[in-house]
Amino acid sequence: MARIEEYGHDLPTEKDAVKAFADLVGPKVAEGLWGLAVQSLGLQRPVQSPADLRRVAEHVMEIGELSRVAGRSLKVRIITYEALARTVQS
Amino acid sequence: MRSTARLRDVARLGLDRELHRDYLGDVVDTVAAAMDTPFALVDILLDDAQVILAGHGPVPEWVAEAGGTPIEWAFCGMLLFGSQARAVPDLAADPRFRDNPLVTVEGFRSYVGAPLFSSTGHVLGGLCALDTRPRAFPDDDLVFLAEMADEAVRRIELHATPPP
Repeated sequence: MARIEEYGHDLPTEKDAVKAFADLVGPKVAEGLWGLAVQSLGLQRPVQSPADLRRVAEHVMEIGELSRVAGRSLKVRIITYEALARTVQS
Repeated sequence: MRSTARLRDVARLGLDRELHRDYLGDVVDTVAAAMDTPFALVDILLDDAQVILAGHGPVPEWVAEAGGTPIEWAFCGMLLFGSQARAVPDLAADPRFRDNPLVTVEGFRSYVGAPLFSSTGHVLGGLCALDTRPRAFPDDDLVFLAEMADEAVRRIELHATPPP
């Protein structure tokens, strides 16, 4: 059975997420919208758990077109990590 | 990869949305049958991930759950550069792909893909066929795949998610 290390895929961090978001909408907008999403979900920064990052990604997806694309990308990366962690050996 | 004009086109068509797209099932089934490959996919290239809109063949469980993969594992990523149908007869021998976990762990060995061009000229993603053995794909396979990619886009544009 494959081991998760063989995939070389780490859990995305909040820093990774905001950076990717900033590449699409600009750093100020990304930082602002991310902060508002975290706040409206009642979370604290830095967001660390995969479940919370996924909630923020889903929230960001509701903001606008490019945000939706960035949020969906983040969601795929988080679920990939979670699914690999569950279905292959650690 | 992160061209905002291209990604806006992806969003315009709603291709980042998590929807079931029955209308692409015939396309991937036809491609797999014609190419004699166990796998065929329609995938969309987002900024940091690829998402799979339709697939033929048993994709790995974790890919099905995520609905895609990280962008760095997307074989169709190369279609953004060159914009024509491409084949890789042995992924394990190609320096661009030999360390890709879809090759090293999941065992994909050969690839052929054609870009999905939107009506506004952006590459949305790819229509591809994959095999678990190294093999060559003749030129007429590339021509066929390009035609099928155009048909996939015609269906995508026809079913585009209307703006809210």
